[in-house]
Amino acid sequence: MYNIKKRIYEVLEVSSVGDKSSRAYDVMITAAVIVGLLPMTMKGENTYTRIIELFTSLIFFADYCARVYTADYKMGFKSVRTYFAYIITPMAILDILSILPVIALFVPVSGFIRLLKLFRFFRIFKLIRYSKTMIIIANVLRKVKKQLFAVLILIVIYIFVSAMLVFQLEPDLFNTFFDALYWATISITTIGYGDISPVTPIGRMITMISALMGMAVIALPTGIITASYMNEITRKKSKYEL
Amino acid sequence: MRNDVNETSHLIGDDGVYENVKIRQAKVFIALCRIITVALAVLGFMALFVGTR
Repeated sequence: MYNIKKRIYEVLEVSSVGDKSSRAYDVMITAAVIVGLLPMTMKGENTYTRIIELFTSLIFFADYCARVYTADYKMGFKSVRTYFAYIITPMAILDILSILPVIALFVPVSGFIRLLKLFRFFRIFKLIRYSKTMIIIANVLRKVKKQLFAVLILIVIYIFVSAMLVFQLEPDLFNTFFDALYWATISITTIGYGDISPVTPIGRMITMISALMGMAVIALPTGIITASYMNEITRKKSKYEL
Repeated sequence: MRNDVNETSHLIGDDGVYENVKIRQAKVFIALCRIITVALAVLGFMALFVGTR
């Protein structure tokens, strides 16, 4: 028997070879994402950007409803809880957040509405679904999230320690502790704007150590992601060869 | 006539040829997607043209 729900799910997911309907849908959503981001590249609004906002939001809303409807296929089990489980997945949350900016068309502009408009940015994440390479990268990031979180904690600790040291050693240079945090972050990432720079020998010594250690700490996530990505590629290749 | 041909899954076209309903629906869906894609591209182009003038 022909299962319409299953067919909708197949169309929504990344297209398989020869599935013209799914391919046409993927192209349409990709176009909607790209065109939907255009208003963010302009300073003001015009009639066309408002039409784009309404039109793309309708497409995204229909896409969201279809994805919720076929959630049982996506999640792999059939139950009422499936739909709730799907709604709280990161991609579903990003989907709903990317629709919210349409509210700005119907209510007066305020600070909150300006913030809401920025949510258009989340639309870019929709493209992840339609690129096999992006799916691999997303899987890799999911696999190494614990290691990345550990490195993030290390970086935050390192920034705080550097900031506290230099804040105590150079009290005249920093008005607030936030300035010291800003300096530590700019130094550790080797950006080095130079708008705040230590003047005492001990402050400069801290800066030198901070910059050297910082390079090693900042390079850690790159190594973790690259190693995991290579493992994933090798695993896929060997699976294909078998 | 093939075994899978039945009254509900097929239509008879103007030229008298049997047409599968699912294939017809897929064709309509693909055409709709392509029309929307072109409409989006035109809107995007117009928005850029007006917005950067």
